[in-house]
Amino acid sequence: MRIAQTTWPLSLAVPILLLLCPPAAAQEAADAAPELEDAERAERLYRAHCARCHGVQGLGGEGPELAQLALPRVADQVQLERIIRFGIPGTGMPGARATVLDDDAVSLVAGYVLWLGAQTTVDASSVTGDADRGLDLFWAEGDCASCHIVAGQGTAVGPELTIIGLRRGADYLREALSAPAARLPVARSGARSGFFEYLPVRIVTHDGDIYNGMRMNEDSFTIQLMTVSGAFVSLRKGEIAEMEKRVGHSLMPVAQDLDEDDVEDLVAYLTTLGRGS
Amino acid sequence: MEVLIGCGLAARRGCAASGIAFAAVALGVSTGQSATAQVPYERLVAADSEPESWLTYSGNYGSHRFSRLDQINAANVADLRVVWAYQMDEGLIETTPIVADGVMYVTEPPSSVTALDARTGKRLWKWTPQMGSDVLHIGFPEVNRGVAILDSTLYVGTLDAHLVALDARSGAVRWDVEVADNAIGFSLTLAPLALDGKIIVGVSGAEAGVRGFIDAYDPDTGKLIWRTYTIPAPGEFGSDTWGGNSWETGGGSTWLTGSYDPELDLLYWPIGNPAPDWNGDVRPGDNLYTDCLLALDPDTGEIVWWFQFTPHDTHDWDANQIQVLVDAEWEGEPRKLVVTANRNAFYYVLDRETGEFLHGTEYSKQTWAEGLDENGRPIVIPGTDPTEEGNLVWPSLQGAANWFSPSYSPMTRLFYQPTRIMGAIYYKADVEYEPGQPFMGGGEQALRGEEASGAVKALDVLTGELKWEFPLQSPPWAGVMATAGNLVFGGSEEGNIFALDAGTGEPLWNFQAGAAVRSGPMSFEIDGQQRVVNSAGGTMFVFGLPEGGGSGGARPGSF
Repeated sequence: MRIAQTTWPLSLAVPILLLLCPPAAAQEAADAAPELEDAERAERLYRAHCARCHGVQGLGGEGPELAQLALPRVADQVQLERIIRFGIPGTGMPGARATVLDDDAVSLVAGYVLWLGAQTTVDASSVTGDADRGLDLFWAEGDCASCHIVAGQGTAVGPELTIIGLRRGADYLREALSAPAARLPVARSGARSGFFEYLPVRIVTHDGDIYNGMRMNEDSFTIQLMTVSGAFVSLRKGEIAEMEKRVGHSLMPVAQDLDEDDVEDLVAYLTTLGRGS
Repeated sequence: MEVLIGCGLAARRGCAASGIAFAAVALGVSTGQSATAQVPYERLVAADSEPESWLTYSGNYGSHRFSRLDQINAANVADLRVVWAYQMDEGLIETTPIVADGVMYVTEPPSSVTALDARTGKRLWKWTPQMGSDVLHIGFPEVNRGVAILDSTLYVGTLDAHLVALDARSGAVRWDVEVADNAIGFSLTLAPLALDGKIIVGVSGAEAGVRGFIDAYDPDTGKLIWRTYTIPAPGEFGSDTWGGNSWETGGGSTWLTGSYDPELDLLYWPIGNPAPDWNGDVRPGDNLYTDCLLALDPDTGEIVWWFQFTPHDTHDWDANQIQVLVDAEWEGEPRKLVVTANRNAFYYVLDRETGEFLHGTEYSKQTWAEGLDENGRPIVIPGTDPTEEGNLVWPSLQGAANWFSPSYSPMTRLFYQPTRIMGAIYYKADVEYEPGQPFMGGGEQALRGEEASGAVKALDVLTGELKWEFPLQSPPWAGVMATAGNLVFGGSEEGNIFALDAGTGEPLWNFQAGAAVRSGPMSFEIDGQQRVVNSAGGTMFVFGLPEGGGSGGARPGSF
């Protein structure tokens, strides 16, 4: 894992260590009081310079969400500081010249952004299950790989889970298992940003064909689906007689056959994914 | 003679270098001006009479963004295809090209100007300003929306707040003036407006707490003719609408091209938000002339009348939308009107001679006002200001409308407005002014995804009543253009460049361009063929019908 191997400045706040360290160290870190260095100034700087596009809570707006465990363009704080300083060419992300944000301020803002992401992290102490048993469940009786890919193995009907432990917290994963429709994944980049992924859609065409599947993309003229059997379907809106977007539903089955321990074991396994252990 | 003007234009950079014969470039020029007068003021006034050209940002002084070309129409638009494309420098494309006498003049991000052969897309010249890497642009991306042309000179504003005059034949700099200091947040992103003997520009920078203004420059020398500040100084009319010294950092930027009525000789310019954006506590009062439409005497810059859409704005609802001039019968009397779909989600009809409010109505979801009173002042719902904890209000800070252009068709009498349907949680924060620093006082968390959407709305131009709407997946950032072919062209965040039936909104053509559309369409004609232009991602596309179009006019005898 690239992130975990990064050398990290000691001055950084505890939740960021939680993000970047292997679970044992994270556990240790979580026991300490999570504090952000010069939190008040960092928040003020963030609100002044970043919140207009990325949202006050880092949940995105005109710019992408920052409150996530792994930022796609960011391996470490040094890289994040470089982005803040120089921007991202070809996007709306501007650079901040030194007279606007000095090095100290850039460092504080970067720390705050990583802290925002860390707020979504797993509270490691809440993971009580047996990860090894979870692994067995996932790959054997649970048959999760029939719809999910982990590290190149499995089938891509639902989301890839290779680094799900970096991207989602334990509570989120618990909910995803027991009530998968409660919170569909949301696209985080490109024009689809903010839209539901894996949204179940039922379509009836003028020719009478019926398609049940997940929306892969959509614009005002077309829609792209993957059916539950994994077939790709492209339709023009003009061909469609009826379309039901089933917000509040998920094609992921509710884990009815799993007891509480099973769920906890699966959560324990999933939280290890992408975390280098 | 006029044909030679165009040929010489091309010959400098095109004919000699490539061996391509450009003899036909300037065919169709109908002006009898001297060799230096390629596009004199008279042609700008009469822009509607030469629909083969596109001579101003919005197509005419009334800002209709309406093409009188009808070769492409409902019956054949489905055959539209790419004739040529031009790949721009990296960045957001928000530009509208100018086309005159066979040459297209277009800006590339951040502030370059390029001349292209309008037939083939081949570049004739390109000018790039020397700007430092530390140019400030607080509150907006590195964009440019286009050039103005007057006689044989192009005028472009730059991100570092200069106004530059370029020789239209070669791109050589005629003059270069600093409009304002970029180090305290000023920029120029708008297309300048060329009038008779004046180049009008406005500035960006309210998010850095600038004091906005509108300038008029001598086209020949770059000398400042007048400057009108949008925030009154103590003692001036309106200064009592600013508490304390808040006027000094009051914002009111002027970052979108205005409109002009040659008969009334009045210039119409929309004004931006007050600063700081979301914390109104530090600037008690109505904060004139922020969020206003100003009517100005173009000779002196004197404010003839003003109308404020959003007094004491706390949501960043600049009035920098295109102001559309319409002549129509109003309650039995012919009236000269100015209409606009404001960022605050209301549509306004004003008398453009007097500024009198005639009518206003909600055209997109809003939760901040019960309506407008008889003077057009919003009846604000208490408790809709930003708070430290956050306050959910429609529309979002980007508004129901923004800079992207509406269109008015004199054929359908409809006003076509790309509309953002999106709410946001608004936050207020303390802020202190520091030169060259963000001065906003809060922020927003916009609702996204399935909670936000967009539409192209067709409104009755006099009542604002919805006639039809075409749904868009995401709130749009792209303008629209109606045509005499009874079409409305537009673009989407999902990469669709499309045409709708202007009367019904029925979708008739769609091209998936592969990246978000962020500019406004325009149209011109060359070799008797209508072209439609729009950009997506980093590419500008020029569309035409197959017959006689093909790959950039590659017909026998052309080369």
